[in-house]
Amino acid sequence: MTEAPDRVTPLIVQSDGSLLLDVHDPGYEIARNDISPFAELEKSPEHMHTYRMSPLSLWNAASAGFNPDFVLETLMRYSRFPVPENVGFSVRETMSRFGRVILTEADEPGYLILEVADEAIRAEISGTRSVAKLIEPYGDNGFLVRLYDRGTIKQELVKIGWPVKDEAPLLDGDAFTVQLRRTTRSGGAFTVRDYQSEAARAFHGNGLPGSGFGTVVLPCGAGKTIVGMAVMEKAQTNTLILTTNVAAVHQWMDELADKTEIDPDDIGEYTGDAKNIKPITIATYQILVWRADRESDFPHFSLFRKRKWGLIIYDEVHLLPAPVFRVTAEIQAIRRLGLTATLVREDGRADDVFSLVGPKRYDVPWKELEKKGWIAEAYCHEIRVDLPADKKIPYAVADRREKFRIASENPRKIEITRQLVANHPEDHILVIGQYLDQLAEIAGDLDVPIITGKTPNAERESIYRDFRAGATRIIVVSKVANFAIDLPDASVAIQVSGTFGSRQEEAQRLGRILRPKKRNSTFYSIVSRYTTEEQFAANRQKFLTEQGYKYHIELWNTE
Amino acid sequence: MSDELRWRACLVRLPDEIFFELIRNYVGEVKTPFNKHDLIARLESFLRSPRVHDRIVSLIDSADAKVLSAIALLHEPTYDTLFEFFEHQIAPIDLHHRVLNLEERLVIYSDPESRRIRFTPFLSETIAGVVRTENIVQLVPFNTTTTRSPWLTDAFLLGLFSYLSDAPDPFKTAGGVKKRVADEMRAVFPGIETRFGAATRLDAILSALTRLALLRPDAGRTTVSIDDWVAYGELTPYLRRVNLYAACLATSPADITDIAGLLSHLDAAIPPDVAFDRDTFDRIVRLVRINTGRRSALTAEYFQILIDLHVIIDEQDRYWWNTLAFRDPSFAAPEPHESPLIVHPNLEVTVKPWIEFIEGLRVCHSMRIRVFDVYARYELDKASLFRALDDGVTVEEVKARFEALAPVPQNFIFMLDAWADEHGSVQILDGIAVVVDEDRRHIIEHYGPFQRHVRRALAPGVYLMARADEPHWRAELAAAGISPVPETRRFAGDHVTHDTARSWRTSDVQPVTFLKPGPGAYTPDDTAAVRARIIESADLESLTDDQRLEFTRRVESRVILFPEQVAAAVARTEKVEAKGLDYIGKVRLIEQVLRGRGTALEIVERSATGAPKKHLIRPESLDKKATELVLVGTTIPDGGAIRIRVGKIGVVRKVRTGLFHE
Repeated sequence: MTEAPDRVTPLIVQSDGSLLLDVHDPGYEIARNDISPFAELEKSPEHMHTYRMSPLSLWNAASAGFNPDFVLETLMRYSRFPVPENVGFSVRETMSRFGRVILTEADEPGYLILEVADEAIRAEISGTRSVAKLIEPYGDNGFLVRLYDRGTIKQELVKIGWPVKDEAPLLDGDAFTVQLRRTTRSGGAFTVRDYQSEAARAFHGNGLPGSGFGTVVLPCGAGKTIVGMAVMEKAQTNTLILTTNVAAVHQWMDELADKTEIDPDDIGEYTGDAKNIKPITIATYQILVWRADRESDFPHFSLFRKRKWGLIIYDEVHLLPAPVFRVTAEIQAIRRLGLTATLVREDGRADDVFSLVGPKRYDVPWKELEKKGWIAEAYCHEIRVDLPADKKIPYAVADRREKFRIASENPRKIEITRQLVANHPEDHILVIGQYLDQLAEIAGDLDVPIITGKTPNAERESIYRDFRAGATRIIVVSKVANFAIDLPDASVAIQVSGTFGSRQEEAQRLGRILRPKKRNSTFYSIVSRYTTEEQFAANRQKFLTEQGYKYHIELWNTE
Repeated sequence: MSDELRWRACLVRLPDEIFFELIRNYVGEVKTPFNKHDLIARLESFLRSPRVHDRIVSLIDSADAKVLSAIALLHEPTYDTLFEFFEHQIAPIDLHHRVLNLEERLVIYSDPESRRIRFTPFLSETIAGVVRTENIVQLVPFNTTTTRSPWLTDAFLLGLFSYLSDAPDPFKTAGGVKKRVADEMRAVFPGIETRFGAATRLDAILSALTRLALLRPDAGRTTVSIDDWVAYGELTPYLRRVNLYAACLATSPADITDIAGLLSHLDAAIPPDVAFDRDTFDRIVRLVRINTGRRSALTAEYFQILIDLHVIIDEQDRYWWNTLAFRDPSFAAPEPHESPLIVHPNLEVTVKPWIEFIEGLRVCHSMRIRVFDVYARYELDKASLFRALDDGVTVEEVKARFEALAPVPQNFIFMLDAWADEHGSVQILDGIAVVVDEDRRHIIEHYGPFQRHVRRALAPGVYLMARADEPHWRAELAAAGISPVPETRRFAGDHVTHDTARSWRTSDVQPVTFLKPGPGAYTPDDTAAVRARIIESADLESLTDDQRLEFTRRVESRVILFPEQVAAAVARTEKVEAKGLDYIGKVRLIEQVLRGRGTALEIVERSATGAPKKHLIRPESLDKKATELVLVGTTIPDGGAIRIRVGKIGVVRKVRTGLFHE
């Protein structure tokens, strides 16, 4: 625990286990460091950050060797007001559950032992159908668990409130040398930033059982790929990297080639275009979940077994498709790193990411990196525009879904886009939208290239390359560019439509312009006034406003 | 009239039989001719002697000290008040004997007209040494490091106000809280399902708010009026808290003021650093109720409710009074000018616990509570803003209220303006007509599902609707994108009027600080040894056996203070008790009491189980029923009617109702 100056009380302990941290208090930083082992950052708006002591965060703290006294002393030390009584009880009760169920190695190959000394807990476990089917009695106080059920059993036991202390060792995988360069192949100086090293260290832990799996949450543009490479350097093993699309695969390949000593021949692409399995292999989620029909198996899941991987990196882990959850549950003996900026899943499966890939090991508020200059300062605007008269009646008589579409495709948005582009003559601009007809019309209007799902990979690469090189200043993109596309010079994004109220999409789109550069970034979201789009827009903005971004709303006068 | 004059007057008015017996007992034979005033002067002189004072005190035991302390703490109580105080602590018959005995011992006297019990004036200073708070109220010095903040705070009330303003009908027609409301409230107000007395906090709070007229159930529709809440907010923080607690304890709104006064007195009376047990607390409450005249009925589980309110803290099987419950400094602003609000760009508002109540009401009026906690989370939304605008607040006022308390992001102000612009663009007027502004007319003008319900278009954007179809066309309005669908505006004549009587206390009480902990409970001398010494030293040679017995009886009852009072035993003795098979004796005693004044009957009845049952009875008649005589009378002190067959009576004892009165 860090030594606090005099009495600083930046913390408000709420009875629901959330912790509000006053960022203006002199004790903010010191308190933040001290609570981070047992509380997760949930929101970081301008004045007051919210952390949460969830069962998972408390169990992770217990697994890292912290006890309830440490947690409660820390809370009392920084708390501005009396700590609510129920919090003490709840922290003790929750943490006391950790370590009662232990997973250890078995002599029998292909199996692990679940040790449960307490008879009542054993009875509860045996009596829970979803758990009982994964275990068979073993000795006086334990159960046998099949190796490939390691993830599932942990997931199911967490659901009934018994976290597993996983003491079975992880597999090392086949060794492979990974070394980061000090100077990139392209000739620039390269150092891993402090927060990137810290994230890698937090993931790696002490190297003992209980470490080596987890999720790192960093803002878009903060260099999560570098964190991945720093982890690879620590692991020195064959690594499988899973990412969202082919462009992202190529970005990883380029980055690894540029910033590590790895021979490009040792880096394999496993996508629809190529199926090369090398010590470092990069694949897309799409290829993994491809199958001939709905009844068939997933043939590419065999990739997980084709080498002795020692590390799997899940890039943009918030997008992990459901079938990959299943296979992830089976490969719990391998080190797993999840990378994301926005662990917001509209399907509510964020908890599954934590329990299967691993708990959140590192998180940093977006605005903090902005303050330090590691991501660009961004200004967000919402522009409201009326529907034209000829769209009002079709809008009025449309059903809910159609209403949203009419509002999204409001033709006046084209006119506004044109004006905004004109207002930013020096910037690299992305026009992002949902509806292909609308995007095509805008691209035509502006006479700029367009990338959609139908654009062949080679053409996409070419357009991105031109954009990065400055040959093209404006591109129109569909949701294919929502994630993982690194366009360092983009400084303006104009969002003309989106996927209903998706918070994650909004944040990822802003993320496309957050790479630090000489100029500030500007994000515009154009919304039809007096339509359902207003409400969806408000919902989309929630994640970013919770990260401290402010939207300036203005009415666009088209008269 | 001075105490001494009053005492003399009381003595003069004693019946001769009692008067002379007293004089004979304490100052010896009365020689004729006599003058009552001279005799009283002799008695007074006797009572002024320090030797007499010492002896009287040496014969006061702890049971005497308890009664004397009660007389002091109750400030010259009447007989009835004293009995009321000791109800459930001392059997009435025992208390009666104790008071009568103290009168006979000249420690106390009572005024026959007011029936107030007082200390004998010449002895009052001496008796003061015996009178201690601790004789009846066992307060134990207690230091605790435990602090427990109250949960029923102003900030909590603000959250309730915001929530209840949005949920206008929390109650089921048949009584109780609607399940949907209860579920929602559990999510918004963590811990609200905690047990509270025999119910839950949720039930108790809603009942208390109803008693305070902050919630007004009226013909199946519960209303929450900002005016009521602002009026309540104008009370001091202390009075708000006291009234709220009182509303939780009261069984009817009419009692709130009285109970609020009682709580204030208790708060002033009970020292913060002492512990007590349950019986002691009951005694304190009785003391305060009697002394302050606050006799409103408290709910039966009032002690548990005070614990649940954190007014009384239960720790290590002891209890202590939590002064924090009334004035809690724990949630004060850490810096004097720290804003009580944080307005976030996502339209959430953090409300800190030190927000001034009325300021809080005004901002919470236009927001929806999301989660109540140490820092409460509210959210601005269209419906909550509309609610405030419907109540006549302007959007400029709403903006000013926020801006006065905290920096407000631009988008927050934009949304206020945008929604205010929307407010009133669609109105539903009782009649029923839907009126739509030109801006929004297109939304419903061409929307078939709504238009199907239109009876007639009265003018552009003005539609006559069928009342019977209201739920349907309201649903269609919502489907068309009119959200929230406005409430139906009624004309002035239809306005529901409320009984505006507010049942809360609006001024501070002057607390009576009567519990002054002293050096601990009185430790009496060994009174038995003192009595034994009197008997040993007395010259009883000249007495008959009966007289010797009478002398011993008087020493035991402590009316003999010195051996030289032996002559008192020579007085004529009368039969005062009949028991066992002495049926005739019992009848004679009953008849004597029926004829005489100032006496009553102590009856020991043989009950069906064989256990003796004692009554103190004022007889009214002795009726004959078949071959049996039946005693008819009323019990003392409660005045209940009683009929007992003489054959069922084990013991009849003639006792005085009082020395100084009947």
